[in-house]
Amino acid sequence: MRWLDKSRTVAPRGYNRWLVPPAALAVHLSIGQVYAFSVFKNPLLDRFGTSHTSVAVIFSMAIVMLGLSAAFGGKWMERNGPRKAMALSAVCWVTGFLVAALGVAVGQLWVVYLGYGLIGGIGLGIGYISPVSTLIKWFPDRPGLATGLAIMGFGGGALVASPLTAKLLETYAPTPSEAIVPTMLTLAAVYAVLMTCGAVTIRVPAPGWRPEGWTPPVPGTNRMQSHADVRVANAVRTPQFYLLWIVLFTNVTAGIGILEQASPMIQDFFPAVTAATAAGFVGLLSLANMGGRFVWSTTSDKLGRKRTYIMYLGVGALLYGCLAAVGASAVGLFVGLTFVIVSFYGGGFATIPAYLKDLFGQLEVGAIHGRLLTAWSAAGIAGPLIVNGIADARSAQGVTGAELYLPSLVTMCAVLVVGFVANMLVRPVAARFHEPVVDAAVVTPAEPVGVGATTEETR
Amino acid sequence: MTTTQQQVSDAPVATDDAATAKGAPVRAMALALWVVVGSLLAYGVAQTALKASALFA
Repeated sequence: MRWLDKSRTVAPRGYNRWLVPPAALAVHLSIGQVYAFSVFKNPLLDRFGTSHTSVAVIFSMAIVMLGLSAAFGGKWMERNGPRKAMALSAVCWVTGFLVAALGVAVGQLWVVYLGYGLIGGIGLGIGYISPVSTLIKWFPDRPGLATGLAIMGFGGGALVASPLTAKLLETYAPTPSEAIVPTMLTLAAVYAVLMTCGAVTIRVPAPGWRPEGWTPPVPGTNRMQSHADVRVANAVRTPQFYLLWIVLFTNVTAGIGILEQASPMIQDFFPAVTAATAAGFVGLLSLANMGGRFVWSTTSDKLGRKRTYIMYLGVGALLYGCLAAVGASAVGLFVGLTFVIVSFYGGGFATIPAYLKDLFGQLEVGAIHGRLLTAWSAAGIAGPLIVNGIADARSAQGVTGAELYLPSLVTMCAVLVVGFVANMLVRPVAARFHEPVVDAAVVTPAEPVGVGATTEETR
Repeated sequence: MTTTQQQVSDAPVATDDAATAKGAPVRAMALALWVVVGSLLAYGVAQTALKASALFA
């Protein structure tokens, strides 16, 4: 198993850095299937004859395990390198499908929880963070582009898995509930191959490598871009970490506010909109979510990370306000406003690793990112609770139409303002948290490194 | 940044050739993977765009 070692992943001289993103995309496209889990919902309800909540627990468990495994596995991942992390992610994700398929076959829902929710969820967390720090090291000149590319794959995973799963459920058996097991086994096989290819092709740059013709910016030119590294143990002791936690939490909570209720919301705002048209609206938002991850994260390389989050949170709050005030006046306006809001949601996910790299350096950025993803788990619980709670209370009062959502929209606007303030308070990390800087004059010049060569970093 | 050295560029040609030869299968596999993930993404986007087109029908 030595081929999994970090030392075996060091790229040979002249390796084209554009050969690295497909490895990251292969993993993220696979684990992004989790957002298409709803396709299994009705077949599972038929198979187990249970409540909606019992089936929804499977998805919730997977997302909670994503946050926990990313938080606690980040340090291990930094130590062992991306290939071992990707391989572990593949094993857990595929095993999760196999165990869940067994649970469906024997009619035991708890086995599905154990498989997809617990084991699969661990694969999600480790897989999500595994390529991020590697890509940041390959693209020190464009970290936003690098993280946008990888995390766009997670959004794209659902776009691929959703029609594919629906097709498989339709093909394998007369009823979708009978086709769950072969569909899960097929997906497990596809993801096993795809993620293994990602683990095999991932490469880390040799120590000291930098893009041709690129020189790191001179210290002092941009105060928000650190030239020092902060370890994860120190990062969690800084106020910046908790401010960014609030930033991510508020951005995700607000985005979920739309995504959670997209289909019923547009139909309540505009009674003429049919269920089929509403499904089209949900599809459009999926494209906004995926596109926002790449476009806004890449833009952040030019705009700067803090300004980009000012846009996500400040403009986002204004857009939520507009939606509450004039969203019901025209379908086109409603669609346009929600499209931009959801693109900011996706952008927030993809830009946060680059923001962390700017503040804490690249040494343990993957581990720090993992810790920060607990904000996602928390928002995954808070967002739907706020939106559904308010909508249910209004509905009980007999309120209908667009009025049903107005308090939710105003609440989300306020949530974004909190995030905006937190982002404005972000300052460069104090020097006492920095790792000692190695004097360039005493560093041994990097030797040419072949595939599998042992280096100073990996010894 | 703890490391600021640029990789040495005047290494012996034989070392370069050996590294290139060793890296060739990986490069080919990575290129093939680009095609696969690109096709998958295109499939997903096309399917979703078709679904979204119902909004404008």
